[in-house]
Amino acid sequence: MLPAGQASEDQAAEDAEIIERFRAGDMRAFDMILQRYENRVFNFTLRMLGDYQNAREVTQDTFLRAFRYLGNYRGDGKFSTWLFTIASSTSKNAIAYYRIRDKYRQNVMQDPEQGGPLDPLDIVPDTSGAPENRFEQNTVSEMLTQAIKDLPETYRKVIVLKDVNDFSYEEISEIVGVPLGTVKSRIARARLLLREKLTQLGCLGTGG
Amino acid sequence: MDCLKVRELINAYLDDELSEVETRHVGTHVHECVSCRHELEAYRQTRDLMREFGRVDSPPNLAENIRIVMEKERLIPRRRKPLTRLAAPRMSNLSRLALAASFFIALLAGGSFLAYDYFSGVARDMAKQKALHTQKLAQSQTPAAAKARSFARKLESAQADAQAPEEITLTAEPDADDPAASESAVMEPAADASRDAQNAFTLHDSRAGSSVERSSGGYRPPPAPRASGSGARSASRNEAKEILVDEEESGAFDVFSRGPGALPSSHTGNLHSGSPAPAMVADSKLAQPDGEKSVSAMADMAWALAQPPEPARTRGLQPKTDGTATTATSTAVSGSGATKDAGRKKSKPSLNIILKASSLQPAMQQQAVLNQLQTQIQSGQAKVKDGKIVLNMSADETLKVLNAMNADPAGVGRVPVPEKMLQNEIKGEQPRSVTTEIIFVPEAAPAKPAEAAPAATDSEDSGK
Repeated sequence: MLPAGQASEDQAAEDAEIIERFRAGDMRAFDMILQRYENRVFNFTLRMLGDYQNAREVTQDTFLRAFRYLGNYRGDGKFSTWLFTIASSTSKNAIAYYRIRDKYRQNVMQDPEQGGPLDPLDIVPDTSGAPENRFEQNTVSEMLTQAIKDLPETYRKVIVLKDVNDFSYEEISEIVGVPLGTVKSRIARARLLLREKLTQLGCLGTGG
Repeated sequence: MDCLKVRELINAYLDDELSEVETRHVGTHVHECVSCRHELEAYRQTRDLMREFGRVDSPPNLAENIRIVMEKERLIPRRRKPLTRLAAPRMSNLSRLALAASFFIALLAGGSFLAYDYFSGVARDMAKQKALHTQKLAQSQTPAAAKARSFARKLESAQADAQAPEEITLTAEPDADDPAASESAVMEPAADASRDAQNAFTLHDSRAGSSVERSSGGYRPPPAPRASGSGARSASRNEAKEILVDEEESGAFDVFSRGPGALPSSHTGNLHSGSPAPAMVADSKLAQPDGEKSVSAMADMAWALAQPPEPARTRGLQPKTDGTATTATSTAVSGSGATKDAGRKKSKPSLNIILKASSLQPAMQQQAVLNQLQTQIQSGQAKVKDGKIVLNMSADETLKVLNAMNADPAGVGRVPVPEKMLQNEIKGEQPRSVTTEIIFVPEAAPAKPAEAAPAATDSEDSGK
């Protein structure tokens, strides 16, 4: 169905070459890595964290850590999966951090001047209203965003890696570090949850 | 194959991840079974929605910004000349000079940049040196001097050309006790006279244009040099002295670190978004704007810019301030920990302090502090701004409040208290009001989970 197999092999080969050059001292090679992966990492991070501003920061962190730990990458697996392993753990830590922080910030006196990057962003669609209201207030995109955010982290991760980042089950198994069978069942469950949520929000046709 | 089995495999089928045999079986079944076909369609729609709406464009300069951060932290060499210290490359030379001059003046006058306090003696020496240099420049025929003079002339004509001709006022009353127009100091709460200069001060390579602020929640591209004639004018009357007090003995971390996800490295973080000046520590012996003295002021700038990049740049362990420093004095600092009260004799002064409180749970600590400040919040003396807690009260009250905070058993961690600084202020002739910003950062734990190599298995299962 998808030509992903060959495409990802080609990509992997090119990446390997770039990494070689980088190790040989060509610093511009890292630029290439950045160009090739920044959008993908950003989208992953964005969907995992659910916040645009935070995602920028965490994406930056991811690349910085990747740079730092590049010594650990021995070329035995694909560079992309290695990079996303870092993205995965960086996001996971960030999610935990923001969760704790936001929990305590709820109690903070609401200061009208308080605005800015540290505020938790939450686009919560109005699901309490009539179906018509929902459509008026929220675009499909927003509803999807919310549906993804509502997924438990474990499921969110695999479905984002699959449908947003286009990794294969095999690659996801490497990134997340669980067996292939586990990936299969998690993706199935994630899609089910997503589908239910989207149906509830009115995004899907008669979903059954 | 029965429906139950098919349902199990249906997503993998959709993703083309089944074996040939399984694919065939599922395909056949779906062809014949309406309800399973229905299921397949529903999942297909879900997946297609994800693919269509799930991906967005990344922020416009994300890759560029990341590269800049890495260059700044010296992880990779600079790819090209940084944005010139003075202005964006597109500006004409003339406007660039004008901008640079006004920027420099704003630095000296406005005091919104952190500069290092090299203590009165050292700063006085510097002042002397500069005065000497200025003199020489005024008389000398060297190209540099000629440049400085022509610079001054250009500046004046640029000023004339400017739409709103501004008078650039340079601060100040030369004051024997007050060597620097704007000073700041890095001080530790346990400041003692014998503190090592190396610890107390970190020098920070701050080239305008490539400075970058790592702030949580959003990355801002390097801000343009902030200054204009009008800025200089108002700034001159509004000096503030910025002082950074930090609880940490050692162990640097990003001021706006985002917790466990943040890099544990000793990279720098700028506390203020103001661009750093090219080089100079502010000096008090600045001229008033009349013809010949503006030459010397401009010469100051030329001198400043002429300083070679300091070799003594240390990536010290202290959290960095957006500093300006000269090579000459960087090693001459000897720590007494005391800071000079520069602004005592200025008009409309205020003392700005930044306190960095670190703890294992910065969010909790912040909350605890807020609880302690209920009264002050009510009266408007304390508020939350940009994620920091800001106090605005007299030095006397500030000291009381901070001490009370730390004495409170319900508190979480300590907030550093700049005792000496506040005492000095209180005892001064005209104690200024104090604006205190308290930021809450995580302690740099020795072995953070974030530091573990990514290949290591995560002990927690939740995210896997």
